[in-house]
Amino acid sequence: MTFQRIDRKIVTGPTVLLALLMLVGLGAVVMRMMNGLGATTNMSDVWPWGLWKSFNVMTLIALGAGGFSSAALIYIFGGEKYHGFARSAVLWGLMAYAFAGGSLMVDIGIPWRIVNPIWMWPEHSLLFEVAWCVMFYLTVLALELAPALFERFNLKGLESAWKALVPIYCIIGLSFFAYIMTHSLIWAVVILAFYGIVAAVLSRAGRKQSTPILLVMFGIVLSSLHQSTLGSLFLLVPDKLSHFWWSPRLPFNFLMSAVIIGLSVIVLERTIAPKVFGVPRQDELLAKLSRFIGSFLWLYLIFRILDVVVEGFSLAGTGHLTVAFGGPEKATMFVSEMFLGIAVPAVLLSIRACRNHVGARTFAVMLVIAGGIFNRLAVCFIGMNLPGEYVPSMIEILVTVGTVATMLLLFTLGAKLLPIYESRRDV
Amino acid sequence: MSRGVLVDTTLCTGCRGCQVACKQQNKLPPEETTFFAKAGGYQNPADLSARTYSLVTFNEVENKNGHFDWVFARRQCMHCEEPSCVSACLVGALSKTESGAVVYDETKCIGCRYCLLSCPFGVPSFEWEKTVPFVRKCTFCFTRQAGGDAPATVNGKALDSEQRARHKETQTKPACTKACHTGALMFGEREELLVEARNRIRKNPKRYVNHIYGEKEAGGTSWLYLAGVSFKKLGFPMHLGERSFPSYAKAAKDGVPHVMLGVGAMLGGFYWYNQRCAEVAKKGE
Repeated sequence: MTFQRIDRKIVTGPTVLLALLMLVGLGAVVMRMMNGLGATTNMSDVWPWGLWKSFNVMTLIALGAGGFSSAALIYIFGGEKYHGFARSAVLWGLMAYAFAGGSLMVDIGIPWRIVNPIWMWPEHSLLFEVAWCVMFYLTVLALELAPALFERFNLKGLESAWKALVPIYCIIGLSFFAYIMTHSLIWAVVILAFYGIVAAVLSRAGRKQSTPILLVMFGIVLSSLHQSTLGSLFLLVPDKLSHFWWSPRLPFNFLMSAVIIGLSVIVLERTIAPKVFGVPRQDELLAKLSRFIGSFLWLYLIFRILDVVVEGFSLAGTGHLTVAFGGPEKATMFVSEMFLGIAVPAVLLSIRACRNHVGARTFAVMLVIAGGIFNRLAVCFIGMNLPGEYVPSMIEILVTVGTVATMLLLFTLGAKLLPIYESRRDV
Repeated sequence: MSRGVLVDTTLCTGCRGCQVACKQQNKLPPEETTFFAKAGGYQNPADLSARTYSLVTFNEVENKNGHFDWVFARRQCMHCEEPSCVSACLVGALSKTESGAVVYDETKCIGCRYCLLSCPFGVPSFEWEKTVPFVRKCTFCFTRQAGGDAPATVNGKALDSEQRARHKETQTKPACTKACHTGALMFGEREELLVEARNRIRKNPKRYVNHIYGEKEAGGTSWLYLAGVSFKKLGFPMHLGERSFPSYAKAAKDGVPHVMLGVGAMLGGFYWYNQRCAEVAKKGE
């Protein structure tokens, strides 16, 4: 598989539009920094987490889940045929995670202290785990993208150093991560030994891989952890979040939906890219990947419905059933999410004719993505049983719009400067 | 031993002396307020905030005669036995001290507000109007609790042991409990306060509902309440259950190294299997 950069003009109409939106977003960020959160956002003591936490952080990280999902598919589960999707998924993932982190600096009260978790280690905190996972995973994404840089600038020496050092970095990183999460040297040694053995065994079994398998594994382990832990964060609010979304199984819901959303984003991106960049159409592969997403959707749908049923039964005796689930509007939102965001696309993607039809397939994955975005917003604020209401302010919305525009702009720039998409002759 | 406060709402006259003492102790700026601005009528201010760490709540409760009674209660940090905010904080800015206080270290805080989100009692407040904002809440006067040793002499006279003890007792009490003149706020060891609360209910079953709020709610709190009417009528959250919320988070957090092993083994296994299959297929050709 060879990759090439998109040989097109960098400055075009759409990129200028994206750049303008980026500037608007930057202006909103300046407003927030000058005037403080109270004056520029609609968050309050009752609604302390708003659009930025729910969309810019939680949703973007779910939208960026294609990086690890596709890596698992390609390198671990024998989906070699999807290899051409690897780099664009990683580039998109890098954008999503970098901007999730960047947005967090706008959202938190004291932006320059975002580095505090690097040297303050409360091992009991789930948010601490997310912070470290995201930091490590950003390095994994950058390392996964590095070969594109090596090819582009012909850095053979760096490439061999990268090949030799990356597995060592992964093993030490995993062990260090285990240590700060448990504060236990025993766990650090166990993880070190385990991944050392894995590396030794697999290096003998493996053929030549373009990406060191340990880097892929490191990325998947970190992603399984933080994608699920973003859900676990809300285990602390069983009294506030409607039990249509809250359950002790929230981390599993988040992990499953992240994989589904991440892969759907790849399908959408691969549908748009031929139109925008002129890269080859991959309809057959996309239909296959969509079938996969469809099966996952069925599993996820069953899991979510069982989840709510179990939650209902476990609350039945306590007399708090209505308090826990919330009013009819919560029920309506839940049913809509299940139906439009999961069931309808599951049916569409299970029908061969729909999968093969570009319009139907794209419609289905867009439903999945919209449902996924709704799910993250619901868990973060829409689904909360709290007094009053929270509606994002104009500044909050502009920052979010600017963030998405900047991500798209930088992604486009990346695809035009680096070999990200597969060459035509390989297809 | 962990300390707490027993709030006997049946003894509270709503004088708000505790509220004022809290403001003075913490040197908190005033708030501009209006009566009847929000539901709550004479309750003033309407809610806790970064400038109001403790608040006497004014509740109108219908009595047996069909008339309304004022029933006063109190809001401030409950100082949970297993605090959600401490479990939440990603930099360890919040911690539960051995004496029972849940304390906040603003030198660590990044302002993420996960503590606000996670608190079952809606206590921590954020300085929203500031450009460098911190979280504010009741400190249980932990600095008072830690100090309080009497000086060797007062006005040139040495203090005797009884005077020293009295000095220590008044100086180490949280400001609100020192200000309370009706005995509605009783500071002491949590275990002893629980015994006291049970005794009061047993001796006066008509005066109290048989519920010590804070004994078990969300794993228990350092602050305990007695009341003559259902706590629901006083605006207390009633659906918290007895399990501490951090126990859910702990279950998820404890799984981390196991996930690292399990996912690693699964990925390695699949990879190895697929490689073997490819090799065997190649040999077969």
